[in-house]
Amino acid sequence: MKNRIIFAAIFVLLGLLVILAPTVLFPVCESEMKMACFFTKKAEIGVGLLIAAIGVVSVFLKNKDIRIGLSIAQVLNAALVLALPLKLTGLCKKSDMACRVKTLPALIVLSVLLAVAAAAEIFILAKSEQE
Amino acid sequence: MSRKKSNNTIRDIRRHAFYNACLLSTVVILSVMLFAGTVISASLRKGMDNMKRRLGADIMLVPKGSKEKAENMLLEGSRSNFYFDDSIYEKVVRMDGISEVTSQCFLKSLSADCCSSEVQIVFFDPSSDFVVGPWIETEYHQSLSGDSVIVGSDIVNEDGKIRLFGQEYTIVSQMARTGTALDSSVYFSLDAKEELLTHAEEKGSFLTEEQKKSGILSSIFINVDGAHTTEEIIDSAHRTIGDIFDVVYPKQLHESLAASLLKITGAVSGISIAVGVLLVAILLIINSIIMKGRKQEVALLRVLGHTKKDLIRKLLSEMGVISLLGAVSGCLFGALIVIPFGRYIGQSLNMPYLGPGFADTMIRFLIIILGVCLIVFLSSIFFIVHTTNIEPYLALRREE
Repeated sequence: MKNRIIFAAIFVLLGLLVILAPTVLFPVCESEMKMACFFTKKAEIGVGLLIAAIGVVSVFLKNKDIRIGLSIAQVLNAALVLALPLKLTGLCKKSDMACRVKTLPALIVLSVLLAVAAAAEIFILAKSEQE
Repeated sequence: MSRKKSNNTIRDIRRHAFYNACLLSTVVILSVMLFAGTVISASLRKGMDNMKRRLGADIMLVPKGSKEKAENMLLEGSRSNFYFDDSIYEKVVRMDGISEVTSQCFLKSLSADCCSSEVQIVFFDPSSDFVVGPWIETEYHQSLSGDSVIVGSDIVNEDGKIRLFGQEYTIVSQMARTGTALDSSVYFSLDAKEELLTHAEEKGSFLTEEQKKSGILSSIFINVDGAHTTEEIIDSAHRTIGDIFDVVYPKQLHESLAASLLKITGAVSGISIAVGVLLVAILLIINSIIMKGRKQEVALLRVLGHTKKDLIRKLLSEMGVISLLGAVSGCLFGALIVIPFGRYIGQSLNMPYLGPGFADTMIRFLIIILGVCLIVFLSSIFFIVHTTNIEPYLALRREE
């Protein structure tokens, strides 16, 4: 129960940070033109909501297999957080633009933290199931 | 057998979860601080060394009123447009006391859309150049012609071509990284200027009246020979070309920046040492509390036949696991912060910042892990030896 709440709280927090990073904390480039980073921001808001929603749902689920499944989904979400700016929607091409200097590093950090947290939950659940 | 031993060690660590968690957190914070502190200081120093090499001229002549812009351009690589007539260059070349002289012309990015190719365009004279040359990472054998360019390290080199104003240019070489916005510059030969401006105008880019003139230069870089002083050369330039220029001293700029770097690295080192001392003190306190709490356990184990050596080994292996885990995770967390945010740190400090390479990072990583393990070992060995040396009878009686 304790682990379930801790991990759910971590996922909700990371989900919110994925939303806040490109919008408030480390905003993407401000321009009247819609550049690649603008679309990355929109997509990250969606992924962030999904991460937080999975976190909320996992509080109410006791079945370990389902929770392992949700954690695997969080690992994939972490990959998506990174794939959006790097491959899928992209960022501005110039390396000194705000989206590359601030937003991308923040998303890298959040993506790694999310992947580590999800992997830790998978490890703990798998181990407790064995026991 | 060794698997069983390591399982026992982990079980022992979990048995004293609270204190060991405190110990682990302290080690993590210490490692993050050491790793981040040393990487930031080393990157700033590396950026500064690179800048020193980049500011390779004694004096730089720029149009009157453009001194600040030129200084910002040299220090921060900010983009600028300032021009004077190129006839001045011929007059400067003929002056006495000059060992090297070259000219450049800057073209602020001509407001193409941000995401295609906004770059600072620099026209330079390859035959007399001594400013751009030292930065060229790979030798180029082709001479720079109208359709070939040298690019900064941040320019995306797609198939050796770059597209500007609808034209494709061959990239003959790429510059080494400087840590400033100059990394996103494109370097053309001066001969290519007219053609590029024509293409820019055709593509609808806005050109100022000054830029449309044919004979323009932005700056003249001068190295003074040993027999003259820079002041003499500046006086001579005033007499020859009149009072139409400002003088920038690139090497003096470096010195002023080096002084601020010294302040920043001094502050980083000072804070690191202060926090480091505090953390080591915390480690000592935690170790003393842990060992005090385990006196009875150690005494019982001795009564059950464990030798002092066995017990020291057992306690040290627990410390080893905690310090290794803490140091590795601390360094990884530190790397996760300072490496991706390197450019942001440089921009915030307004200093040239060049992050360390992979090999350098790995060496630093290993040194810090070893250092932290050594600190934990030294801070715990006294308490461990002291606890194992207490007579079991006395230890057990005191706990009653």
